[in-house]
Amino acid sequence: MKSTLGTFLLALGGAASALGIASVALGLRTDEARWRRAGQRYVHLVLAAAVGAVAVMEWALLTHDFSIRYVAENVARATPTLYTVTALWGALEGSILLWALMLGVYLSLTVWRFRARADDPLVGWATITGLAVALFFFGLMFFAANPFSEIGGRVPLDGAGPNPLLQNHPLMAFHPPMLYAGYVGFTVPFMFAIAALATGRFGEGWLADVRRTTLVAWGFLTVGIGLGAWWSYEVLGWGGYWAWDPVENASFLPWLTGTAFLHSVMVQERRGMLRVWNLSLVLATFSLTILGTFLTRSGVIDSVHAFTESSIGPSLLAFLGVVTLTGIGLIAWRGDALRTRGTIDAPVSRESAFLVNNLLFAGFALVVLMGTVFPLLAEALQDRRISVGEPYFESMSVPIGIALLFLMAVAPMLPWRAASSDVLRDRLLVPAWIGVGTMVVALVLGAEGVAQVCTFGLGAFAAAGIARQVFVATRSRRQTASEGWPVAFARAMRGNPRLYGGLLVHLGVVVVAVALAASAGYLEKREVRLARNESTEVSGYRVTFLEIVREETDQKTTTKARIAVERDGSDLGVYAPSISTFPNATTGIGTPSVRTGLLEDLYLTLVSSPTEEGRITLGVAVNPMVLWLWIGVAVMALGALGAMVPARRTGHALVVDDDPAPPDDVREPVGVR
Amino acid sequence: MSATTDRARRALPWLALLGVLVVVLVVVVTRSAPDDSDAARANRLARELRCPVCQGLSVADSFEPTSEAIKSDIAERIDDGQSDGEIRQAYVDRYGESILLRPEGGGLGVLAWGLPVAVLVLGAAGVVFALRRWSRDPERTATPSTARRWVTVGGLVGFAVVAAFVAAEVAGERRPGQAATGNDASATPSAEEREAALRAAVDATPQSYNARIALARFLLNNDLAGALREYDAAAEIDPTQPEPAAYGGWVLGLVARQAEDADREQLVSGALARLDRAADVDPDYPDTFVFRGLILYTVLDDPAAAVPEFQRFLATAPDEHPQRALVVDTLARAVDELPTTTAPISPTTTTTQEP
Amino acid sequence: MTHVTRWIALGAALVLVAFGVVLALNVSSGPAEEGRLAGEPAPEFRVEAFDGEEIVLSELTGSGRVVFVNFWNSWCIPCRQEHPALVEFYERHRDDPDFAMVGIVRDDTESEARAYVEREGVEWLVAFDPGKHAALDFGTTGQPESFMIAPDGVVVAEQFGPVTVDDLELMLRVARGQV
Repeated sequence: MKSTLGTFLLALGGAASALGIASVALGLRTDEARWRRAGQRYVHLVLAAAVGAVAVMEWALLTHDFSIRYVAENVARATPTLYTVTALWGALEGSILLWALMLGVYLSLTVWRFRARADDPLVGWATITGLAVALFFFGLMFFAANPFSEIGGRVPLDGAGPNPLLQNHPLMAFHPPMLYAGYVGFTVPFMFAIAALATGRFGEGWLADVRRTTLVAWGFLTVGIGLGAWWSYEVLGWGGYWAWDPVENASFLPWLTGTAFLHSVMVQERRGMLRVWNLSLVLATFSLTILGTFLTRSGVIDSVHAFTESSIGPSLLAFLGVVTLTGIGLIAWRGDALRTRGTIDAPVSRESAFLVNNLLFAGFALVVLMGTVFPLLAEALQDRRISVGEPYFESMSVPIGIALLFLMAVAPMLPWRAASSDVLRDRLLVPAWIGVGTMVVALVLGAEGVAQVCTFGLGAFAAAGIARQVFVATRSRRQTASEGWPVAFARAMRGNPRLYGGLLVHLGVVVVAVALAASAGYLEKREVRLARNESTEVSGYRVTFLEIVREETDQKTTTKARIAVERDGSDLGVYAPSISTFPNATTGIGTPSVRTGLLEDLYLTLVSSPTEEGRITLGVAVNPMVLWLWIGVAVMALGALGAMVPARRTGHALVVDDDPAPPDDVREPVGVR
Repeated sequence: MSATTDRARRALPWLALLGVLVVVLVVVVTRSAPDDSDAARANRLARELRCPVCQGLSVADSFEPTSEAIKSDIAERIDDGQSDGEIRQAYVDRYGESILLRPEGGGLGVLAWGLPVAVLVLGAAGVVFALRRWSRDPERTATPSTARRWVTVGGLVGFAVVAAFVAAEVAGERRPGQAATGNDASATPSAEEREAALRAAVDATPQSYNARIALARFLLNNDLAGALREYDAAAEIDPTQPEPAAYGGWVLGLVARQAEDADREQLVSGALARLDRAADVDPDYPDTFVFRGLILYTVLDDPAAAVPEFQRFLATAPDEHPQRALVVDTLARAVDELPTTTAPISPTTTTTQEP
Repeated sequence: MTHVTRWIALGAALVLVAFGVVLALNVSSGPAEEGRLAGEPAPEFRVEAFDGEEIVLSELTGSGRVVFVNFWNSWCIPCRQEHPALVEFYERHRDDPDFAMVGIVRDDTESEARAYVEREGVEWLVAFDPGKHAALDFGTTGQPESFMIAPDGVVVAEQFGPVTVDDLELMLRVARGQV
């Protein structure tokens, strides 16, 4: 029953998408507004179908309806409720369902937001594009990867249960939805980019329309990647958080191009330049989300995160081809009209900094892409099996990252158009000295590693620049409006949330960069063998193996090693890294036990179950500053949130935007034509 | 005049900043020099090898028993004196190329390493080009001050790029950043890698004269016994070539120079025998005579016999022969040492003999 | 300008199509696991039998025997699955003068391995591999992995994962040069 209902809802979603496309297209052709409006109503029907399908799936999961193959394969009766709910995105078919749900939400919100402009061809074309994407995903589920397909033969009494890695940590409940919310969100800028190309209105209007949604998608993707790293750190037990795994890279790629877009879009808004580039970035970002989906779901790549091999690979590849070739074709078709007469007044200006920024982000994306697909190229072209891992990515990304950090410190301080040397001195000299001073302090404290020391210095440089800018804005607000410091601060920030939100994101990046440099550069890692009540010392921590505790539930059997930790004679408590065995897996899954601290984490892993003599092998790692990674990601998310707040310019107060838009900017009126 | 001093005054804090930065970078670069201890080498190798039973983790990162076994195996091999290249190759032999986490620089690897770098460089050129074109606005012609700023930006960007690559190079083992400075590990493979490649060529085609001679030339710099073995093998494969005989003789001569008196005679006679054979095979092969001369002069202390050899070398060797300067010098010294009665040759004779 | 944009677009399209073809090739083939040792000389090993004696591969092959090497663990479920096949195969050939069979513990504790051998009545040679040298030299990535080595020391067949009696018989015939 649920199977039939679910499949019907998938068909409904697909049909609604198709009818919506037809209706809007008819409206655009005949110029009849009512068709366009009707078409937009279908979008809400698509959302309803997706919500219904997800609800049916959750219902089936929670009621253990093992007649549905997906349920039988991905939950067991013993699976805790949390992981039963999250099983929706634990495997391939369900994850596409979640994708469709997110897409429905984004489409509906977009149509609702532009309800007043339903007659606008730009919105019409955007709706068509969005519905076409929805049609593809519903079609994919209906024909190739139906989550509601029934199990052949007898209905099993119990299901297999989720992959052990997916039922071992509550972060699993948040990481995939966040990531998908990010991935899918980039559909909206894509829709508008295609619409801009189709209608020939590729001025700055469509950019204003999608700016906020792009930020939403970017924020979700940032949080999703951060949570993914945190999940790796807490679950996988190797002591790291980022392994340049193909699936991690697949999420990082659209983040890189999306970040490039968020920056270069400002150049187009202010100066009307880089139209082709911005359109290309949007197309690339969306294509990369599809490429990531393809890589992780077609079985072409080995990864911890990859889904099992499936038959949807060719469909996704075909879709990817249609998307990219359509985009490129449209750009080529509109090539002449996309021309802009760009002028850049001086090489030292905000505009040129953005150009370099985009070059570096695009180059970074290319590095990650090459590293990810290189094994595929080698196999296809030369029949060689090759791996590309951390050594490659690290040696390529460290220089680019450092250059980006330098740019991040300098660029926000540069004025648009041209920078006089007085302005540069006022804005940059003190922060730059703070940066160099930080490097000196780091050296005095014994820091090693060129990349590390550079990161600390550039991070301090950037942070000092941000602090200066905030301070100056607050001070001038205080002087003109005679307000107290806190009020002046709040109002100054409120006056230009986009600027200060962006700067807050930058501050988060500084935190992340410093944490990355410290944790990657100064990690201490050892493996020790301990008998009961035996102690050893690793980097100042004294760890003592107390005893083994076994816990058995229906879900799993857990062997915990109780480890007492001391430092400088003070007792830090007992930690219990464990190995769990699940009925549906042959090998045990280790769960690390982490003592999180502001400056460093102590990371304990039980490497092997106790031998008959009762000895255990314990992995002990001391990871500096890992906590700050998560804090930094949170700050970035907060900044993105802040940048979405609409600006409010109160009364007479002077808003300190250091570079107001130049008066000769020609902006396309939004929503007219 | 006052404008210049004013500019200098303005530039001062920046120059000071730059100075401190350079000092800091120099200190940190020297402090972070790559560690060549055995433990550091083992760790570096472990980071480059994929854990064969994991997904996507290096041997260093994973705690799997197999990884632990590989770590201790690497440590043993380092103790045995194997080079990094040999250890890597041993794992490639067992597990295939996919055990390496860093793609090789050669062949298709150019794509992985070179493409992003090439695109970044081309992109940088494109940005500069675009900036120039866009700034060539008819209304605003470049003033000297903008031109100076161009130079400043170029300098800053160049400095940032160099600093970043220096950082990358020192931060880890052989960085691909070195490609940008013309020191690519793939372009100029390390000695071990070259040796391994040459040995592999010899193993593959043991009867190839070229493979033998290439390996022998390589070994000449670090492994005399090995070089001699390869030269002799090459001489056997192709007895019409003077090079293996001449160089084999030279190797023996080098050994003889440091050998005990008792052994020396035998070594020297072996050396001279090979050199004689080389001279028979090709009387115009100049290296034969410089070697014979040097052995006669420095090992047997017989300048009278050495002088004609050097002269013969100067007569046969082309102008650009790398040993020419050495021979001219040595000849002059040898002539000085000659008993006066047997000194018919003046330095001018040698110069006239030069073609 | 126009034609520049179009040319760039055309170039990008071509690159993407090529890229798509590469991906499509991978989709159709999928990652393949292939043996590396088949046809190569078997790596020499010295392992320690449960009774303490040293087993050396070249001594076994040197006496003109086909050697079947099986890497296993007591905790590995596929190893237990293939166990009956190994027993049957061994029963058929235990008295062949030109045949030897060695089970090498890949990754297990001594007592568990001994208990397994005791419990299952394993009668062929079983050995520990201190330092995992044999397991690494054979390039094993898991267990069970099986190798059939001809008397000339060349690996004629290898298999990842459980074997059947038919597999083993075929491998043996190949090693004896009967195929």
